[in-house]
Amino acid sequence: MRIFALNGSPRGKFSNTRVMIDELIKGIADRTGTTARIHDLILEEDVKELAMSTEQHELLLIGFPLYVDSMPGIVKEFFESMGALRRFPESKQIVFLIHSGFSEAIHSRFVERYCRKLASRMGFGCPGVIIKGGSEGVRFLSSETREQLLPMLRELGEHLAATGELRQDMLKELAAPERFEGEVLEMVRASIGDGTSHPYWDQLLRNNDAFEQRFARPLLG
Amino acid sequence: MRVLVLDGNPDADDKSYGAILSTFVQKLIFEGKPVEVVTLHQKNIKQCVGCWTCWVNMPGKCMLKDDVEGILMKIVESDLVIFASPIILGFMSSLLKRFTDRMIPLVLPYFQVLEGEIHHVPRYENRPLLAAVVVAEEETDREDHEIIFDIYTRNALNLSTKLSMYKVFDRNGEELASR
Repeated sequence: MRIFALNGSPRGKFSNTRVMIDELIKGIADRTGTTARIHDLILEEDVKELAMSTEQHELLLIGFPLYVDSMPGIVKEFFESMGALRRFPESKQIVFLIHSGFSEAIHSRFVERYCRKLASRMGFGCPGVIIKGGSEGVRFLSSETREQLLPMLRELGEHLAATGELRQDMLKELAAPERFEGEVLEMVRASIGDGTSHPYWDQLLRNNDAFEQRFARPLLG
Repeated sequence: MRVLVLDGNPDADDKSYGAILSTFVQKLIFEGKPVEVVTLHQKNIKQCVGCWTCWVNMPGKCMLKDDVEGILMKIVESDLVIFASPIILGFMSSLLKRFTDRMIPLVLPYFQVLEGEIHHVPRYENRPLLAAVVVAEEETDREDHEIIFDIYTRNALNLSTKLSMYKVFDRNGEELASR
């Protein structure tokens, strides 16, 4: 099986997306013995040519972080280039991986609908869309999210290679929580405070000596 | 009401889109609204690289040097921002999306709960209403309308504002959907 893997993160090589796609590919390789190169979209010189090269592959793995409620601009550009080809004689499978810094899956569900529609528009099969929230930090070696997440992605990849399908129970587990409700929502509300402080952001701001300017409004004339 | 139109058409030769948008803009002007149109394909707009400089390093400022800051300055002075684009492969143009990705200096990194979900907190007091105006491609169907509408409704929620108008025109300028 020829696999085309795309890291659609504008952060390039040091991105959460790349770590996750890499693990899916490892899982596929566990089963098939064949590995795939990951294309870092932001580093590609010619998006059209890259899109054209998908023609020679049977399985497309497309990963991207959620940027303002949908795909990053550069990923849309890649889709547009693929759409302009519209000459895919063989049947193909396409799997999307969408992740976001927000904890809840709900943020990614809307662009998921777009991705599924895109697959059907192109005449591709789509075994599923992998949604993962709370993903910031996966790229750091010691992160807790990473330790839990990566073995699951690897297993997902292995199962995909074996059956051509994504395990729905695992997709559900990866996506959880869909949204916060009831008491949990109230705990979240209490923990994020009044929207003017947060331990994680405050620490980053202090590290950069920018804490005092955190509410700056430089765009006002 | 100060209106800013972000024209995300990537193709200057797309005459039918151009005619539809200018008719739409003329109508707003007849209504007495001051309208400014920003033609994005004439601007230099780099892809956001997710560095978060605008959140944690130089709050409110982007480290990329191009035409985006000038456009953001217009947004924070507007009452209504209209995202206009031909539909390309079921969604707004990649050009318009690339610009949209650069709007994160308009929010703080901090969080709030809106409609039961976590969202960022606005950085500026003035939060213009949003609108989306699109021109269909041949294969556009109702599902495409819904997806675009829903994603722009999300954009508005993320900017702590509302989507106040949504229009889909066909290539002859007939309204296919309007909310």
